[in-house]
Amino acid sequence: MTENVSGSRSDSFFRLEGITKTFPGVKALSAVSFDLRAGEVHALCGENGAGKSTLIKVMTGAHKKDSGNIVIDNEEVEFVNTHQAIEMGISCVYQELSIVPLLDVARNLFIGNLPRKGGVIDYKKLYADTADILKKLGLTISPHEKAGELSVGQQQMIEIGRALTRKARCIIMDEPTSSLSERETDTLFEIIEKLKNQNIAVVYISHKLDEVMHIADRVTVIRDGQHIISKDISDITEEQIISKMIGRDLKNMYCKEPGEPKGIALAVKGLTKHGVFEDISFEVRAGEILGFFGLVGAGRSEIMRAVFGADKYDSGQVIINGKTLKPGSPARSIVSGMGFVTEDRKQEGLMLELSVLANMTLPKLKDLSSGGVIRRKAQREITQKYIDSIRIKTPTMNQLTVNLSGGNQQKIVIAKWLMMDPKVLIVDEPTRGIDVGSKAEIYALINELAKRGVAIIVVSSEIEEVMGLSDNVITIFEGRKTAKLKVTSSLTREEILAASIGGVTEKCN
Amino acid sequence: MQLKATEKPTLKERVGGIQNFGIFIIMLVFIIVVVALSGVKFFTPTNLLNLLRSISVTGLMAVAATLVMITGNIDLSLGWMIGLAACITGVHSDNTVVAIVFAVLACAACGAFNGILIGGLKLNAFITTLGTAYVFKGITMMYSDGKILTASVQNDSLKFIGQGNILGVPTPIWIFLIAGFIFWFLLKSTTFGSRIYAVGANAVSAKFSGVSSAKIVMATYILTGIVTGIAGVVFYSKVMSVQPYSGAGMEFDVLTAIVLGGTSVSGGKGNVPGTIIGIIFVGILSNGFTLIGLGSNAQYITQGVILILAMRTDVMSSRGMRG
Repeated sequence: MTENVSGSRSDSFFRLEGITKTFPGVKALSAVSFDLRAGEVHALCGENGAGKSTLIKVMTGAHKKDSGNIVIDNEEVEFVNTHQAIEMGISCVYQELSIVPLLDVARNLFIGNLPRKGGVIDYKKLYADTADILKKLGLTISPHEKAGELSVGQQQMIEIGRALTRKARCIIMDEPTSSLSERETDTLFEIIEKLKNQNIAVVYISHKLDEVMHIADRVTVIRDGQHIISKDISDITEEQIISKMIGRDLKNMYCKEPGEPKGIALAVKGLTKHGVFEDISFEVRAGEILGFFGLVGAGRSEIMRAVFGADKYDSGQVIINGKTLKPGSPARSIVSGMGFVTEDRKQEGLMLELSVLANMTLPKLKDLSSGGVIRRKAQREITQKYIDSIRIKTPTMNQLTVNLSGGNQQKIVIAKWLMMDPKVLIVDEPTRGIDVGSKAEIYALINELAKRGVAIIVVSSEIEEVMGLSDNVITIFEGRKTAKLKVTSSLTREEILAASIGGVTEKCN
Repeated sequence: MQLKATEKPTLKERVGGIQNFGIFIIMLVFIIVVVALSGVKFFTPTNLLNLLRSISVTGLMAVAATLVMITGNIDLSLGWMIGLAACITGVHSDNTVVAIVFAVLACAACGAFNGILIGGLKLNAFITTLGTAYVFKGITMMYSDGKILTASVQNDSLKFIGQGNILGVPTPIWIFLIAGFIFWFLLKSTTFGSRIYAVGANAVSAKFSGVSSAKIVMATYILTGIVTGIAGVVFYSKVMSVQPYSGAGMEFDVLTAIVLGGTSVSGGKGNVPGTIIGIIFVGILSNGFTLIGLGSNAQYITQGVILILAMRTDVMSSRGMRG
């Protein structure tokens, strides 16, 4: 390639130049540039709401840019739809997979694109091509297996394979490891290496910076819709990337201060739901942060749902401030001073198609009304107060929550409970799918609440999070409490892990 | 990049209104065609009052049933429910108070029946109300013996409900407008209204915020029942006579009006002013077809097609939001 336009690097085959995109009320991208060389892994980093998703959507033709150029092989192109981008070799593997569970691997790979001969499907070619693609990916699964029976990791590989069937030159991976196990992540990295060897470029988007440092060749950081920096990965450290992402230095993420525990705010005694969890007992004091750690499927969330009253249980008691709660009524738990930041904010935490205002004030409505009539002004004022105080980024309080980034959505769920002034707050996976900057803010909020005397239960599958936040940690294994550990400087990851996989610790009580 | 969050809500946000302009344009085009073909007859005060009077009964039901639809449910039993209410009114046409109380109580019970099945037992609303429609049909037929019920004694107070005037405007229109106002206020400004939207948008999230979808759904069905009871009294007193099966099919007008008004079939979205515009459109349709001399058969076809078109735009707009 000898031709070179306006001084940009001649070795990049795909370039975005000065892309600007505005949505009503928000400038999502302002003159962002991005380029991609054949066979490189280019990480795209930025906080939620920084504009990563918008940039990807422009790349894949899902959004039309307002201005700027898309250049492929030094030729300016215009994407009218996603189909056209795919034709030009730009494919994307989204966070939410689009596998058809009942179809087999081969049909999933070639979906919408089945090889045909004389109007009927050419099965011979289909399965031969599939075997070829699977070999390229180094996968040992059968082309005849039903896609629904594969693991999430394998399904994701199928999506990547699908991009290969479309002769992709660039594959965009949006948070590819968010639902993968450690071993599956390793397999993914091997596949990415293979793609690189075939001269395919990968745009790698992840909140997990250790992965970025490990797999990427270059990194581009965007913040508030602007291009901040593009660098070779060897010229930058993880800390530098974080500070570029949030625009300031991040010192102590957890900012843990030892507090003085007060009286018992919540006591759970012998809580049992047969087959799900057995004989769970624990206490949380006002001002204490109690961590709940266990592997996925250990029953942590189920226990919390029962404590909150969302699920029924067979026996046991939940006592809040000396009062026994009747099971099966979240409304009563809320009145007694309990709040629950659920694990799945989209399914259980938010009403995505309602406004920020409607979401935030839903449990609070009783206090914001007289005789059943909402006091509009009070409702708007309290919403504004929390939007300001915990810095929720939204154009207006009437914005639908579906349009906000994950971090801001999570802040709305938390704000909903802050308003209620809870005595006990359960937070289940508070930072799942959230960027570092928002993470730190959410940790600060949790600490602030504990300091104000709220008893907090943090459920998490991230061991650092549990250790960083909690005063005490309870480990759960197969529905049973295996240990209660005091978090001190001498407590190790290994001790917690061992307890969470059923190992007995002498500290168990 | 962040705009001021305190800005005043727009008129549309405060009052509500139709969310899809395609329907609005079809409506305008239709009015223009009607006016062109019928001369100026359409815009005479008599014709316009007639039009409003003709939609007052279905309009009454539609503003209440909007609540049911916003929770993501549906009520197909309204036609037979109003039939039952009208028959009860017919049987007790000598005593206005007894007629109203019995009609309203009966329909409230019907609504509660729907509400318990759908809100409490979480049965599918479409099939359930299709079933309860048959139950109500049977009850109505048994109760009326399948005969036309005509008032045997003169009852002026009952007649006033259906045929009277206040300030030159027929009483049924007043009742419709008052109900419209009450339900608009209920949805827009009360905690109950906010909870209806919450349940419709995501019942699971609502539950975790302490809102019981069972109670909310039951309440919307019972309210719709009560209003349908009142609508039945109005329906009867308009002509002081009723055929037991004359309510059948009314649920279709109600449904068309609500969907045209921009209420999402999947719930969480919609408002009363939209429904009122929707029912006026349904009225214009039938009024217009009469004016230009086309029979009701052509009207059925048109209304069916329009309902499907409205559904299509609903599906497209909710897809657009996620995309």
